[in-house]
Amino acid sequence: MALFQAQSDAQLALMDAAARLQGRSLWQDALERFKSNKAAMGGVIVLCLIGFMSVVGPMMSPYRLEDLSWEAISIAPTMDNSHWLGTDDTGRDMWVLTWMGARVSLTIGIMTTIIALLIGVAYGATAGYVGGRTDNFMMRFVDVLYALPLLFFIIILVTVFGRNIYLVFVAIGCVEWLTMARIVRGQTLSIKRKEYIEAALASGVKTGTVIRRHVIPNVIGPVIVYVTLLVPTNILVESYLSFLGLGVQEPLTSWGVLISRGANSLETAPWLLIIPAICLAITMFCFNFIGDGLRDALDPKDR
Amino acid sequence: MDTVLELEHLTVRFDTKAGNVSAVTDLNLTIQRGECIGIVGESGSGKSQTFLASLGLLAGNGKTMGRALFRGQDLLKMNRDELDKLRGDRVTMIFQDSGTSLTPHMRIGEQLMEVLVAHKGHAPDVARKRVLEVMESMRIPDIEKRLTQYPHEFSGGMRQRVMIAMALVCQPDLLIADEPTTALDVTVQAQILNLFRALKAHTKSSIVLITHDLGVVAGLCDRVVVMYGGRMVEEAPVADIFASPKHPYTQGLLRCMPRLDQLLDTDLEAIPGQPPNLQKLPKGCAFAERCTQAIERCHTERPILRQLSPTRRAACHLLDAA
Amino acid sequence: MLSFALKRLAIAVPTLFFVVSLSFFLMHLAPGGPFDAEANLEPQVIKNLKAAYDLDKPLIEQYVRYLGKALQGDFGPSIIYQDRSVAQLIATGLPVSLRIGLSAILMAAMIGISMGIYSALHQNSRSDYVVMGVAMTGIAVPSFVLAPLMTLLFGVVLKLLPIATLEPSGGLARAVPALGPYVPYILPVIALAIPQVAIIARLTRGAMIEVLRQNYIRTARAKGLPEKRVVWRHALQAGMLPVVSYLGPAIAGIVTGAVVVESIFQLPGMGRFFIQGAINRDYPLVLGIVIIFAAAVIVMNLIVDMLYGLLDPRVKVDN
Repeated sequence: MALFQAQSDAQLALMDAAARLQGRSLWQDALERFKSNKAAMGGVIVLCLIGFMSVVGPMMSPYRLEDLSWEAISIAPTMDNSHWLGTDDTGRDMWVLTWMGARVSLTIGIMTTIIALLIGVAYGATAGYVGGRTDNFMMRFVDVLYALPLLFFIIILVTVFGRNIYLVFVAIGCVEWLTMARIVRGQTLSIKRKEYIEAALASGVKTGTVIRRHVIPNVIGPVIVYVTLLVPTNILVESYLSFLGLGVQEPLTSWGVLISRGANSLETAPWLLIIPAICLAITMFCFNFIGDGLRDALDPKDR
Repeated sequence: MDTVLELEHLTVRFDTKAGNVSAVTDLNLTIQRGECIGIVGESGSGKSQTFLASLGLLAGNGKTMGRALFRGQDLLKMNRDELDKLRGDRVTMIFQDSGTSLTPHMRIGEQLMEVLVAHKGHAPDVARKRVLEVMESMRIPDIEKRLTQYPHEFSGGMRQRVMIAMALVCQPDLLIADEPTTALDVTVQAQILNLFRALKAHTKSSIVLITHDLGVVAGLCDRVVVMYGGRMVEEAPVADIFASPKHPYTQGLLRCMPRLDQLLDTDLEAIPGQPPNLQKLPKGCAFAERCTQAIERCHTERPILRQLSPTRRAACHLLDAA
Repeated sequence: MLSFALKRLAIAVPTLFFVVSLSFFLMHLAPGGPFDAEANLEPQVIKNLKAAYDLDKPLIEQYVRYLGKALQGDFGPSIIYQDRSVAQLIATGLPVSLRIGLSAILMAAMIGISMGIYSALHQNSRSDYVVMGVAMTGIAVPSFVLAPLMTLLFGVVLKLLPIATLEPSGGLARAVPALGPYVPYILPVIALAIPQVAIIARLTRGAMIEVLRQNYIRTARAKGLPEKRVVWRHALQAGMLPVVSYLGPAIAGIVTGAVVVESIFQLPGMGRFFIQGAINRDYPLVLGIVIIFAAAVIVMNLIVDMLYGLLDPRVKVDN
């Protein structure tokens, strides 16, 4: 539906007016649009299911994570002996491993995103709000970091300070905030220049109210979209580290660890790679669908 | 006389997620050779869509019905190649926002010359000569250097001159100007209107001037068509429109114009209410809700466009009563 | 254009300096040293070893000495590959990494851009959905999953391509001997390129759709230009701008991806040396490789910036 800008302006203005008459807010509209997006809603449902299984899944199996069994090494997925997804090369149950891995992968994805969110919002809002030279310098610094293969720093950090899971959180979070900072800064800048902010301030509305009523609602849209895209990115980064043997350490497991182990026994037990890889891919799909859906819902002119 | 463009029952509709939008409904209009015709109406009245549709430039979700005969050939039945032979050469169009209507990463010279290359098959040096000639007539200073510059290095008025030059290099039979002065300063507006006046005097091209400003029409056009809610509501020679507007909407538009003979302290009038919702056009006259003279019948029955005299048409029930 | 390039260069030098310093201090401030694992060594031996690697001097002195030597291309001796200097290791690893890295970025750009343009021109058609579905899969399936799967398929099952060697072997090399030297790189390059292909395709599609609804495209059509000229001359250049700005991060992504891909395919490139060095705390090796990688990325970004300036005439005026 490629509407030419000039042509559609009039129509949009009319529809806007109509929407306003019906008393619908921007957010309700966005919610409606999001709900009507089948891919995005499917993503939400599947993701909730994966989240639920990461909590409940391991308890459904008669086996536990640390149960090694030398009689049941590398069994293919079967219904016979409750090894629903088979076993790995030490006889551990893949069903349990997969959902335990989901638990760690999702936690890492969310935790690192929160860290990145905090740093990025603080940094970007400061740069955008203070403006001038400070802004210029701060954003140049971001530009500089942007150009670097930052994963190397994570690798250096992890190898130097030891391979524990909390360090992985912090290292990934400390590296993945750059885009967030850029988005927040850009939004802050553009909102600062908007006439309605000046009008509100000039007519005596308190700064706090202006920030709550005008600034936050306008910054939050793009940030939400980016957050839903950052979670899968960070899950991938963790998998990447785990694949190299630098991320989560045994006995804890993550999808990255499982994929790494699965890759080594691909010829003899392909399900060890395929099951966690499919889980990872589905999660990536879900987050990306949700992210796309949110973007379309919050920025209707893009459709 | 020699007819250049003839629109028959032209209807334009957009399919949107929120439903169908009728931009233009059953429009009949004839444009003669050498004539300058003004199309007047507010945003959403369908005045631009009419001509975008005729040239096959509608957005992807737009549908056009009826016929648009350019010298007897139906433009709406043409495929892309046939259409490309005419548009840019025989029929050209100028757009309102010159800032976004020129390709930002191409030099002005190339954007002008490519028209001649595409339509006349000119060699670059021949095309260049013709382009310089037209730019000269557009009173653009320092032309040689200007050709090598990019659009962002031009002022708004200069860009609009380039747009006009682009529309004239092939000496078209019909030039459609969609709000050519709206985005410009008043002084620059006057310069551009003067260009149009000179153009009208010196070429045989027919001109369609789309505008929301009756003042622009006054000094330039021979005939005026007023559109409202996607339909033609009045058509008349330019002098008659100002002397005796028949449709209440036209009357309202005229009252909105500042006049020199008016006392300074009298307020300008505005037409009350909002433009109609094109998704849900009323059963009766689209203007009835805002019309101060509306009668019962206006809300229930749509007035048809009737011939009032050999040169005048209008669609209003009040004219029946009179 | 020249002053633009010089300004960028003026930023590039301190950037590199920043990277070197940060990596140096990170590695040296960390608890533990490269010889901790060898607990059974005599104290005197450790002392001698540390002296040999300058580790007994104050940190600042080490830093200054290191910078001085690095400027002359001397990154010191490697700790884990004891008979070789870091510079020698880089000299063997860099050509391998450059070959797969550059091929991957070229392949990603060409295929990704073509897919994106195709999709944009057939927006919301069935073929658009298929192409974008493929692209989405490329994003969702990371290279460390793709690589083993491709190895299994093309190496083990079909026996077309060599596995974990730079020797030209497998069915394809036998069938087309001319391809011989390139055959071992095919799988690594594909594994490296696919995620970037996917991202570039999505980016191109979005940008082209945005550009195609611009007013100046309508003008071009109103001028009666053939669709080919409208797309390739009027739309493409503006549509490439977001893609070109993404090339910087894409290069960084390829470089980090190379680490995994080289490990999986056991190619003797820089990435494998990096991981070996990092795991074994081989400071000089890791630092040397970080410097080379950072320099490469910075140079590539410089080229990307200039390319951007060429595509968008407005950039020149702003700078």
